[in-house]
Amino acid sequence: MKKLWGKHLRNFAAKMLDLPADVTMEMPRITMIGQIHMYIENHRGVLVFNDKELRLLLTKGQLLVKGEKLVIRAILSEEVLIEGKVDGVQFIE
Amino acid sequence: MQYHWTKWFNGFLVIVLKGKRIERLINIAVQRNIQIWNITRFDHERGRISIRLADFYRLRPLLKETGCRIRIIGKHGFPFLLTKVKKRYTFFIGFVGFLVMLFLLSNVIWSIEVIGTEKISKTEILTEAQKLGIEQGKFSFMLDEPDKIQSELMAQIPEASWIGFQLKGTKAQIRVVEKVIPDPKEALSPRHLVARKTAVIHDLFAEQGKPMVRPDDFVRKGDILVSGLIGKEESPVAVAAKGKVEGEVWYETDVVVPIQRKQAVYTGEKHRNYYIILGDMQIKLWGFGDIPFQEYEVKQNPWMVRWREKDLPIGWKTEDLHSVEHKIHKVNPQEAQELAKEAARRDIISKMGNGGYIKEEKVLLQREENDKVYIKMHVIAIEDIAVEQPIILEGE
Repeated sequence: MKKLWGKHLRNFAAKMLDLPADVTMEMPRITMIGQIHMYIENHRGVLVFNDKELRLLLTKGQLLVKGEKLVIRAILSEEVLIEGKVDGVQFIE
Repeated sequence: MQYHWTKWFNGFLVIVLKGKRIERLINIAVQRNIQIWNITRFDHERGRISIRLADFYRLRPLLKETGCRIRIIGKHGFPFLLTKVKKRYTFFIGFVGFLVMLFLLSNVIWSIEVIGTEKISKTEILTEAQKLGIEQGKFSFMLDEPDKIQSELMAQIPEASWIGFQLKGTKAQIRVVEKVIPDPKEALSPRHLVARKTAVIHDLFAEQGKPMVRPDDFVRKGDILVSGLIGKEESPVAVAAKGKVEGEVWYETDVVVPIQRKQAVYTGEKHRNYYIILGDMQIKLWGFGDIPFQEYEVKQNPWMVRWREKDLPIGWKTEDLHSVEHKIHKVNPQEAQELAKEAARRDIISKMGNGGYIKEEKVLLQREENDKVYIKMHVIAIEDIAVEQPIILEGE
């Protein structure tokens, strides 16, 4: 019950104050430069990583990045920068 | 990736990981604030990461937790450079020696440049500079401050009005501004200074030669004031006497000033005639009729047609006739006296040479006769009474 109210309140605040969803809703913000760079904020940890795929845990669901020669250039607790050739991004509920 | 320089400075390692739970290792490392970057995965069991040297020891417990093993394949950064230096200390000494040499050699004066000399010889300046330590092959930091060198040089070389000293890299630059010395005056032939007038010496300044008189001495015309013969009496040396001798000279003047003066005065009335000029002919156009006054002054104002700076024989002319009245102006005796004095002064000043002035004046006689004021005035003037007289040496 309490959680539900909190979510409603956040939704309301996001609409009223015109805040971006990634701040209020804890959703990932993904910035890409062509295929070669990918910057993901608000992730919750690495599930799978190899040179063909990167699977990240999100607050709700997972994010699957497919590509070739993937390298994690930098990683922080909520951010990750990937280089390589990104072929696809997929959200898994 | 950011702060790459600090990463390099603190040192970092490139590690190959062997194990199945590499993702877990990454997650835990991130949670515990262990910085890792450039993560790649070769295959299911092997990966590679970069890690800070300081964090490397904190990684060990994680390896146990995740069951990974490591192999260091690269050591980068300053701490490792230090250990390398320890190994190759001769090379390092050479490198430091190189830096020291570079520093020393770049602080050596390799050339000295003298700018702006025309009359003063460069070698003179260079020898003076050498005394102050400015020499080829000397260290520039051994020198005094440029300001001090500058003033020293200026003191040593009085012919220059200003000397600037500046170090430009390995070049010492001495900038000289020479005094503009006027050409020496042509040698004067031997001469005396003699009195031009009978006078009492007021002041005497002999630049060259032997003064023969003193202030308050009475001199007659032709007396020697400054002698051009100096030295012993038996064997005098002839020089060109030079100097300034001021003497008191007495003047007496007679001035006559009329009491009555006839003066022409404009009445303000005016008559204007207009003419056209054609060659030598003048054709009157306007201004006919009687002139309403008898006495007048004529002012003509011709205006010729000009073409390319040449007067053409065509033009026109205005002629103004200004009416004039003659008035007899009577001066009162006091005014007449002032006028007479003024005239006397002018007369005396014209008789004096340059630089003379009137010291005292006295009216000796004043008389009014036949509408005229007669004044006899005595004036004491101070003026330069010296005049050159060449010395003709006997036996030459």
